[in-house]
Amino acid sequence: MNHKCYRHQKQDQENNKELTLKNQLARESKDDQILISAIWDNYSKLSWSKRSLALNGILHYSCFPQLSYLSDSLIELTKVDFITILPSEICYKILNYLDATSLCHVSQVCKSWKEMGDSDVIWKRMCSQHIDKKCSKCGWGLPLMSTMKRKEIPCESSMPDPKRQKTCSPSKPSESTKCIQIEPLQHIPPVPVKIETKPWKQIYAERSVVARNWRKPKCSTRKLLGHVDGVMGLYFDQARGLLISASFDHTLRAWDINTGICVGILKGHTKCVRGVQFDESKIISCSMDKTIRIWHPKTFECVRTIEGHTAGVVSIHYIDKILASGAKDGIIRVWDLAKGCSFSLVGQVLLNYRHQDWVNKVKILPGKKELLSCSDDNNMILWDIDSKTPIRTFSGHVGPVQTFALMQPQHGLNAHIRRVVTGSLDNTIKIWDFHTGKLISTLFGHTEGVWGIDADAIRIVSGSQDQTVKIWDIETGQCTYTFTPKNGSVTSILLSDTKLITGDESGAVIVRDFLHTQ
Amino acid sequence: MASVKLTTSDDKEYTLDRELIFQSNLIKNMVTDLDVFDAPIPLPNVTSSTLDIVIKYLKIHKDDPPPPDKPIEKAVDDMIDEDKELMKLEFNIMADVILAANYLDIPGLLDIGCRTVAWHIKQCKDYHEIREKFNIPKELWRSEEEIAEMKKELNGILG
Repeated sequence: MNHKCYRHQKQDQENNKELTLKNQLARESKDDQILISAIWDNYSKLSWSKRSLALNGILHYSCFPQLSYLSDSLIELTKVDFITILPSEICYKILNYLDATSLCHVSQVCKSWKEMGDSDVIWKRMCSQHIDKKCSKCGWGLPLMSTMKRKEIPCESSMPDPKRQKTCSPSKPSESTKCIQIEPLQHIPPVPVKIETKPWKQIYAERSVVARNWRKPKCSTRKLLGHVDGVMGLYFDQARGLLISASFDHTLRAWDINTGICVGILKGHTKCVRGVQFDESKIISCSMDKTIRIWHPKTFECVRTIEGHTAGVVSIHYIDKILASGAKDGIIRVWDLAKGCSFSLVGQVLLNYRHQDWVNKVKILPGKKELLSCSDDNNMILWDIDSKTPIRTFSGHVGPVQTFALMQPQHGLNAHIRRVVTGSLDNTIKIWDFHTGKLISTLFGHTEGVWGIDADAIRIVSGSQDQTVKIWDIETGQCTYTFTPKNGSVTSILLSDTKLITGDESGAVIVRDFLHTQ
Repeated sequence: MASVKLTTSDDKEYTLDRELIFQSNLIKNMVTDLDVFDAPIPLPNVTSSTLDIVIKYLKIHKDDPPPPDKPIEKAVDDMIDEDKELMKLEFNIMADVILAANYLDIPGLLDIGCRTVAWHIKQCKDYHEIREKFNIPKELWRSEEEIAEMKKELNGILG
């Protein structure tokens, strides 16, 4: 018998069974030993097809007690350890059908099962089914790893092309809407970001903890104190653990989120600072003093002041070197920091198609072709940046629209509809169809104006004048929890994968951490 | 209708309709590429009792439309009744069938085999039951640290 089946291949490695058999045999009398080993020897010499016949004979000569003994032994012997005997690609196929609970049981069984059950192949798939969406099989989802982590490194060369600079003509009608030449942004080397890798199973486990804590909700709370007046803007980078807050007290503060220590105070603005954003190579802020300032990402020194707006700058947003800013007079400017020029989005003035009041938030959409803005004139407008004209107006709020957030494309009935959520001083939150401008739903719950909104694939969070922070289910639109910190009205809010960060009227920044809850 | 001859590891010869056995990509490629018709194809890894089950599967599915390129996400026990019935096997035979499906390259059969094993694992409430069901001996392989780490991980995932 030269062909070994997998049952015997496996036993060869262990060899225990054969040893026990030999020991048992040794205890018998000499004559019996010869007889029994002759039967075994002869049997194992037979080919598979002849073995059946030999067995038939043995069965024939057996009485009921032996047959019962056989049938009892067979139950154990025909059990097969699939994971050990099957090739690994088939094992992965089997394990891919299991849920997290069963996979955990699998890794407890034994070493070889653990190796299989813990493998990155399996857990990466589990993560891709659950993270940032709801799983179609089990119906629950885990929050995304890091929504704020910027993956791209800013452009290498920021030196201007002098010829191109001149194409920006300064002959526009009014002072506030004309093109403004600015000195192009000098290149600041980006702060290196440490990228850690960990097993997918650990990622899944971490996400599960966060998801569960969000549902309860259970979190640790840390208060970052330092600002002496209301906090109007927040920006956060999970990878660096850096949070920067902008305040009414004319300063910005940089915080180490892990220790809660203020690592820098950015002084220079002469009036309330309304907005802030940063990446590895620059920090940009805007202020009611009509300026935009660029700060060094490490030393926190002001490296540039951009003037151009004729009214206080309420909001900024940038992607790479394209910066948008919205001002108190309703003007939105788009700056190309690499080329050093800017223009304003004026719309068709005749159709009255521009903001008539404070522009509270601007956001350049991915692709840098479109821009969203919301205003005290109760509207939100989607702009085409190249043609400088409005594409769509979202109107329906009866109070100033303070903020908006894009909802991530995700699971569920209307997953294909891209949506945007707005918060207004009319106390409501509204969800809009991005492509048609149609109102989808209105969320009631806050008893005073909504100052801050953020959203990910699973939830919306909102902060309000009524001193509360509410968490909303993105699918049902139900408020699932209300935090009542009673620290003055909540003026800004930020949602990251594991944290909910709010800034309030009193100047405090509160960080709620859903991963490290102790 | 043209037929194909196969010989199993225990020297049994089978004559099967082309249309039926061509659900096996291995046989299909062999026959079409090598143009072998009369000589029986040896299957050294497949016993006749296993091939009997494989043929049962082929007969159930002979009129199936070609499978979609991208596998559809289905629940673990989302199988037709005939397949469920077919997979009511002792584990050693089931393993043979899975290996044969893999060797003969019959994706559908491999899939229901894997599903069935997964389903059996899923029925177990904890690792003790898995060990019992698949006859896996206890191992003393964990250090205190490993146990602590595993507990932490489990708490994370299972809550």
